[in-house]
Amino acid sequence: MTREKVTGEVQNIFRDLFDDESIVIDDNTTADDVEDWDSLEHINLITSIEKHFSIKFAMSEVTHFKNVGNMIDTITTKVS
Amino acid sequence: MTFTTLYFLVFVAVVVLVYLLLPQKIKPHFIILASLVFYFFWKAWAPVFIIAFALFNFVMAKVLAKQKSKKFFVLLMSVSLSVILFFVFRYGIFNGIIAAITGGNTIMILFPLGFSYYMFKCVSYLIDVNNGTIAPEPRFDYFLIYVTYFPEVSMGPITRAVDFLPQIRIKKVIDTTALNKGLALVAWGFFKKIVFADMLASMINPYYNDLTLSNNGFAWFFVAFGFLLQLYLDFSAYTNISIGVSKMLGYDIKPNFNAPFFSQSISEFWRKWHISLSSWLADYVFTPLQFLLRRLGKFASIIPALITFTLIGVWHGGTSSYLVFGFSMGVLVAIDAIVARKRKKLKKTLPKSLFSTVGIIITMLLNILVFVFMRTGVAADGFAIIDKIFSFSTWSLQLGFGLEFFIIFALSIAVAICSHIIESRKDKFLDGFARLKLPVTWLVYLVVIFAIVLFGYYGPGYDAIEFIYIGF
Repeated sequence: MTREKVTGEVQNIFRDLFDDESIVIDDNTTADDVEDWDSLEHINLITSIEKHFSIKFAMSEVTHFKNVGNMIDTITTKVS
Repeated sequence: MTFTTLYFLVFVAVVVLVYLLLPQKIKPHFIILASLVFYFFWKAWAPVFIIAFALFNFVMAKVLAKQKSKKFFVLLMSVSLSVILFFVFRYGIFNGIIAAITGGNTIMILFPLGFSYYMFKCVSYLIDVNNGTIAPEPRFDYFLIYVTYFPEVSMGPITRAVDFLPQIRIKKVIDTTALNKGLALVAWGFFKKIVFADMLASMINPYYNDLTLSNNGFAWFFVAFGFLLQLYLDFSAYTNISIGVSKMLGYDIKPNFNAPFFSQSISEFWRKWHISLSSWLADYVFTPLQFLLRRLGKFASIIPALITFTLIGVWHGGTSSYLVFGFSMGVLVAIDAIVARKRKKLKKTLPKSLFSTVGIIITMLLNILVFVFMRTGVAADGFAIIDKIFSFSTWSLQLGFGLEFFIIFALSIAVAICSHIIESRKDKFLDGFARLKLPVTWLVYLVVIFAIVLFGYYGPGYDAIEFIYIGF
């Protein structure tokens, strides 16, 4: 799966989870850019991504996510 | 040496003056000396304990970094030892053992001042080294500064090694703007503590010391509200002084409060109150537990919330009221997690100002009630006060307070709101103060000094009331 395709699917997960069709993510997106992205929604986001891509994150991977770009890099590595 | 004493002011003045004049190379070692002297003033044996504790963690970090296998086991052993030591001191187990051996002759071994705070510093340092977030500090003298640093040693903030250690290596030059900002924070802290926090304490303490003093539920509501105000003014004042002294020494410490009473939920409150502790627990307890339980849906947040906040309660002290305080906060945060989605939907349908005002009022009322348990020491007393507050038939406007109480109360609210506005504007307020012309700056300082002299809670026989959080 290409990085672009992963980005598109992660964006759809964001839109479903935060119930907001106007969300557009890019590599530099952080929790500050998405309303309601708090620690509770963060874990829901992680779980939704894991289910959608049938992958599992390690705790160390999640704690090192500085932005959506890091997250997409990790997902792309895991699914390819 | 309490921060709001003349001794401390003289100590800081001498330390800052000498520090600024010393050559760069000696500056870090002078901070160690000053910190150990500060700690020595508490108890003569205390510097030995803190050096030994720092050395243990310094060595274990090096071991962890070199360890190829069984890293987690080494980490677990090191952290467990610190935590066990914490509970042994906290619950006076040493005293019990000595009494058992000597047949009742007890030697009081006190809980080392600030151990709760520098233990957290060391534990997070070891976890961060283990996770590769930071490299182990190669110099013990620098690590010793981190652990013993006198503006933080007694009550925090719990600054992370990753934020502090690199600052030791930055060249410290005489910076009049930083000195001015630091002095302004110290003066603001003194003003909040001596004029308001201690004055409020003197008015509400008689009620907490004698629960029969009033049967009016409305009066007890004011007393409970007064303690929450006192706690904020007291602890935020300490933090202002701590950060102010650090600024004068050339160290930037992250804020510990960010307008907590403007929070619209209990979860938000804990992101803005005692930030260095709550973010520590969020990073090292709540988030790992939440991640571990992530497949359990809402329980993935409920269980970690209950565990984390119960730990906050136990960290404060070994009494039933702290346990009730922590567990109640855990329940409230868990409820926040359960209703989070509904709240968000409601937020979209209601006018923004109405939603935020109702949120702030509800959060404040819940805090007023739960923080009663932080004050009482015994859970039964806390429940008795809650019972009095909820006995609405006893509510009367004949509160039994003098005019002075209401004046102090109203002014304390005004000062707390000012403090919140300053916190929410981050550094803008301090930057603006530093840009004022020198005569204006000194005029402000003179007004503060006169306010403290004229209205401060002191006088013949006055002994500065200890900061509340120094007991934790």
